[in-house]
Amino acid sequence: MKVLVIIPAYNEAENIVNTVNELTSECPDVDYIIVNDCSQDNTKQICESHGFNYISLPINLGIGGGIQTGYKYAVEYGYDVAIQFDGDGQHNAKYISSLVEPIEKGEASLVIGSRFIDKEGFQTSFMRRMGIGLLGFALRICGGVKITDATSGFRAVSKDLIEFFAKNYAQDYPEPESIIAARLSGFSIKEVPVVMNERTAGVSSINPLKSVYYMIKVTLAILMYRIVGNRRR
Amino acid sequence: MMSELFRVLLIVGVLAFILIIILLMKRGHLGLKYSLIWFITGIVLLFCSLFPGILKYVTHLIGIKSEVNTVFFVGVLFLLLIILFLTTVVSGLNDSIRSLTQDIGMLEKRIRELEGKNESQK
Repeated sequence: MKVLVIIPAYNEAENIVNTVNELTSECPDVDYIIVNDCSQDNTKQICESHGFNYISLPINLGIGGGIQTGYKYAVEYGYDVAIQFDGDGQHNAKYISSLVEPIEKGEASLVIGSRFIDKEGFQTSFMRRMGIGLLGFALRICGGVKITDATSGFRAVSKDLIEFFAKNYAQDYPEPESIIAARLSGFSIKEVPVVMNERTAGVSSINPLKSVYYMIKVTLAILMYRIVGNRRR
Repeated sequence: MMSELFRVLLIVGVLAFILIIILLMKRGHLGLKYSLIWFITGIVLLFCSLFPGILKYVTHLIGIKSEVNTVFFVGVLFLLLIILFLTTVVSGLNDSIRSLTQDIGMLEKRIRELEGKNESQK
């Protein structure tokens, strides 16, 4: 199984070296690709000087477009499994094997690392957990799947779903939206327990004040998916 | 009722509108695909202001009291349609730009690697 780890990076100059070093020492047999989403800081220069494997986008596309670049890359180089792995140190590379396992066994096409199954490690704020619970509820009603950590960006994707995501990947609220898109197109989804860390440095892309607004918009987006269906195939 | 002054203003305005469209087309600021709809709009407006009978008939038909209100009503509907159409155009452009950006990123990586290989062979 050829495994590719996609690391989206936007202004991650402080974290990216640690992330990649941990990844390569923990999982030496997987490839990785950093997608530098037109960072304002010197993320690109750091990738270059450390000899990392990276793609640098000339225009900032946001997290959805960045991740999708990784999927396109995975299609072009024929990878069997793609892992989404944040560049900010939140995700722990030692769980990659447990994410890949259900795909190897053919149990699921999308495997999501959830921090709320075993409830260990960094659990985020109460408000966030409420929001994630609401999203899980929306996904359950609209997609009939039980997802405890809909906003988790730590996930593994099988080959057929990589091709699907390379063609159409949700841009606005990619984590929860991609779940419903995959589900409505008939891909199976599974969650496995992981432990996440708090960000070591830098700022999260989601501002806590905007979280409530974000949740309302994403819930509506999930509903829209249910109503409109996935016509873009 | 439509006053004479309003009619004159309407005709002058519509003529200016058509003139601007032609100027924009001439200078290449307006693609043919999008200019046609504006051009047709201008012609329709011109006819309506030259022959207010058309407007009177339509107003009577849908049961509006004043012709001016018909102009507003149809105008707002038309503008909504145009904006909706423009939104689809913007969405399409957005998709194209994203796709191009991603491909440029991947090509840039390939060029970088090929150049690196070339350097080491020298």
